[in-house]
Amino acid sequence: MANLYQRILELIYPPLPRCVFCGDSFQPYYQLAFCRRCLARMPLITKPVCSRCDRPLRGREQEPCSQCRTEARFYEQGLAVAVYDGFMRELLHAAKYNFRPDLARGLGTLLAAWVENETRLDDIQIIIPIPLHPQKLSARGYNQSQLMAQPLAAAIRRPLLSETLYRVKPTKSQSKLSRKERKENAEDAFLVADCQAVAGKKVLLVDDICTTGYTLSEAARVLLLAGATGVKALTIAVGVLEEKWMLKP
Amino acid sequence: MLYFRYYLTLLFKANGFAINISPDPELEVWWGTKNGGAEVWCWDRSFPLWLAERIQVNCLPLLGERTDFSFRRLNKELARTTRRYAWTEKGAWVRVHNHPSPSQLLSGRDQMRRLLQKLLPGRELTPAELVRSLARTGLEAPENILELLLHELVLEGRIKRVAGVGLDPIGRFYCRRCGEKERIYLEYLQAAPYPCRVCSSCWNLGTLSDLVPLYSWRGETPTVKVGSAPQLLLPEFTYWQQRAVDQVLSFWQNESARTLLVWAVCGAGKTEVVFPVLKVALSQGKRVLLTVPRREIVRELAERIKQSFPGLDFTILYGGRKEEVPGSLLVVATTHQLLRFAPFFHLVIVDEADAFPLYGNPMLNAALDKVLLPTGKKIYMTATPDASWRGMADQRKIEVAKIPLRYHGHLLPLPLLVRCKLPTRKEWFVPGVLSDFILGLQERNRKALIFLPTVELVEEFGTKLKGYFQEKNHQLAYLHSRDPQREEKIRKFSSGSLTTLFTTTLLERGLNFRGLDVMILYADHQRIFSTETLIQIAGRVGRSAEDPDGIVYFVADTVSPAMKEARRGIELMNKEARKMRKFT
Repeated sequence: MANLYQRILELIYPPLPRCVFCGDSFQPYYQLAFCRRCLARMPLITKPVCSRCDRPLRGREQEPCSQCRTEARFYEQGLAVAVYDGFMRELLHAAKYNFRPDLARGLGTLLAAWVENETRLDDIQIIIPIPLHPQKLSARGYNQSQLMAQPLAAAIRRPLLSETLYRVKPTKSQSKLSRKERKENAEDAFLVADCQAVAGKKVLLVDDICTTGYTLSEAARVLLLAGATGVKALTIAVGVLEEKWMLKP
Repeated sequence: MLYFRYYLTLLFKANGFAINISPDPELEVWWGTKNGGAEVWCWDRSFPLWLAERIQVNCLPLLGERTDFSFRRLNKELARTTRRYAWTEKGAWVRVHNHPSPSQLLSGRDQMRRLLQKLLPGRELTPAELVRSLARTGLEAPENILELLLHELVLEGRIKRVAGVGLDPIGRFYCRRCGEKERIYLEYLQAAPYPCRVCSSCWNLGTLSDLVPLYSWRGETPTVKVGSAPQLLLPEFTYWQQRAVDQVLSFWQNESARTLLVWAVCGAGKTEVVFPVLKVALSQGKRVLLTVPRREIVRELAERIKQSFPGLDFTILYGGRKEEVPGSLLVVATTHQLLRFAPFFHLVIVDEADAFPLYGNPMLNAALDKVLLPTGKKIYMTATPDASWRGMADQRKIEVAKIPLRYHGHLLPLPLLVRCKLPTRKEWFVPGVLSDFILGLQERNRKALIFLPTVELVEEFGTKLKGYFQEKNHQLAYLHSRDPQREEKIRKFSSGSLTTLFTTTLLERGLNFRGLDVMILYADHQRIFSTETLIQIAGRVGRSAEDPDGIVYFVADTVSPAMKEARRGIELMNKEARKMRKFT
C-alpha cells in the first residue's frame, strides 16, 4: 500500500534524476547527467591552452605546444573538454571496460553542455564518431564514442553519421604502446564507406581520449581524401604531455 | 564478452517431450543421440533469455505424453506469451539435424569440466567471471567453448542458467544478483541482438544485463571429506572471553537459535572468540563464511586465521584479489562478494557488523540472508551496536554474548575534547595542537593516526604538512580510499617506517597497530563522525598488553553532541568494566 501511495506521489512530484556515476539524486542542471559533486571532481581544462590542440600548457611548455610545433595533424583544430587525469581517467575507464553505456551517454551530456558557449563548432555540418573494429564492437557491446556523440548532435542539431567511417584494421589498444608504435598502429586503420555523404562538408570527429592524436589524424586524412572540406576533432579528455611524450627539439 | 542468442528447442523422447533453452540447438541433437535417440525441433528465431524463460514456464503445463502433444496448442501459448511482452517477430518450428561439430569442440575438455564442477557449487557467476576464475587456476577457456560446455552441464541437470536481469512473478524486471527493482533501465546496444535491461546498482561487480546469463550449481553440492579437526593455536582466553566462547558454542549447538550478537568493547579480542566455533563447525564438515565490510580488514583477518589455524586452506575473496581453493569449507570475503554466492553456508559470521557499507545498506543485508541456508545461523560481532540492536537485545529477541573488558584487563583510554580554531577553506595555518602532537611523538617513541572527515582535507593536510615536518625528520604520509598504494602505506605504517598517517575513516576499525596515539580533527563533522565512529576510533588505542594506554584527542571548533555522547559511552563502558574487574 505504501508503495502504491509512493507511486501516486511520484506522478505528481516526479523523482529527481540520479547521477550516473555516484547514484545520488540531484537537481538537474543544464540537462547534465552528473551531480554537482561529481562535476566538481572533473579536471576541466583551464587556460592557458595550446590554440591548436586545446592541450593545457604546463611547466615549460609554450604556445603552440611542443607536439603541435613539430608534427602536423590532418585535422585543423583539436578541441577537448577535460584533462585525462584523476576522476576523468576513472570515468572513461568505467565507460569503456566496465560495460557502462549509460556513463558514456552521460559524458555526452557533458559535451552538450560544454558546446553551449563554444563558437568554434558553428561551421560544422556533420558529426562522425570514431568507429570501433567490428570485432571489438561485438566484445564491448557498444561504441562509446558514438554514445558520447549522440547528445552533442542533438544539442547542435547536426546529423550524426555513425555508418560512414569504418575501421578496417583490428588495431591494438593504443594505451600500452610507445609513440612510434602508436603511429604505425593507427596507419590505414579507416575507410570511408559513403563518400557522397562527406564530400564538400565540414566534419566533426568525436572520440573519447586524445593523447598523441594519431588515430584522429588518420581518420581526418581519410575523410579529407573522400572530399571533406575540413575536419575538426573533439575529445572528452586530452592527455597531458608527460616527459615521455615530450618531443626533443 | 560475447552475446549468445538463445533458442527454444523441443526434445521428443520416448517418454514425452521437454522444452529447453539452448545457445546451440545442434548440441541438443548431439546430446539427444548420445542419450538414446531424441528428435529435436527448434523455433527458428532467437529470444532474449528472460522471454525464453517465461515461455518455458508458461508452456510447462502443456507437457504431457507424446500422444497428447500438439504444435497448435504450443504455438498458441507461445504467441500469447510473446504478445504480452510486445514481441512481434514471427517464426516457426523446424527440425534440427545432426551435426558433428559440437562433439569435436567438446572433446578433450575434461579438465575444464572437472574444474567447473569444483568452482561452481555455491556460486552465482557470469561467463566472464568464470573465464577469469578458470584463468586464475591456469586454464584458458575460450568463451564459446565454455558456453557449450556449460550448456552440456545444463542438459545433464547439474547447473542452472538464469538471465542476469529477469522477470519476477508479476512481470517486473529485477536484478537476479542484487535484487534491485527500481534502477533497471533499458539500453539499446549496437552489438546486442535485442534492447536489453541493465541493472545500474551493482555495477561495481561488473554490470549485469539480461544478455548475460548467471550460472549456479543445481545438483548435490559435493561433500568434502572431513579428516581430523583443524589445529587451533590461540593464546589463552581471559575469563570474559571464555564466557563468550561458551555462549557462542552453546548457540551453535542450540537448534532453534538463529542469530547471535557478540558485543565486545574495542580491543576485547572478539575476533578470537569465534575461532573455537569455527573449529567445531569445520570439523563437522559445515561450510562457514567469515565476512567483513572492508577490504583492509579482510586481509588482516585472513592473516590472523592463517596464524591460528596453521595448515588450513581457505578461500579469500575481495575486490582486487581472489584466492580460490576449490572445495574449501571456509570462505573469508568482503560483504560485496556475497552477491556472487547462492544459498550455501551453514554459518555466517559478520565481523564489524555496524560498519559502512554494510550498515543501512538493504542490498548487502539481503545478500547476507541470501547466502545462508534455510537452517543456517548468523553471528554478528560489533563493538558499537546501534540503538535498534540494543533494543532487540533488551527484548531478548536475539541472543547476546557480551565482553565488557579488554583482554589485557585495562580500561579504554578516555578521549580528550579539545576546542581550538582549525584551518578553514579560506585560511590555512598549522594548528598548534597538531604540530605539538606530531613533534611530541618522537620523544614518547610512538606513532600517530590523524583522522580527517573528507578525502580533500586529507590530501590538503598531507601535501602541505609533508614539507613542513620532513625538515624535522618525521615520516609523514596520507591515505584514502582512492589511493592506489594504500596497502603498501599501511604495511609501512605498521612496520614503523612511517610515524604519522593522515587518513579518512577508512582505518577506523579492525586494524591493530602498536604504540599508537590518535587525533581526530574536525571531530564535530556531523555526518562523518557519528558516536559509533568516534568510539571505534578511540578504541584503536592501547590494544596490546605491553602498552595498554595512549592518547586520544577529539579536536574541533565546537563540541558536538556526538563527541559528548562518545565520551560518555566510553565512560559508561569503563564503569562497567571496573565493576567486572572487581568481580573477577
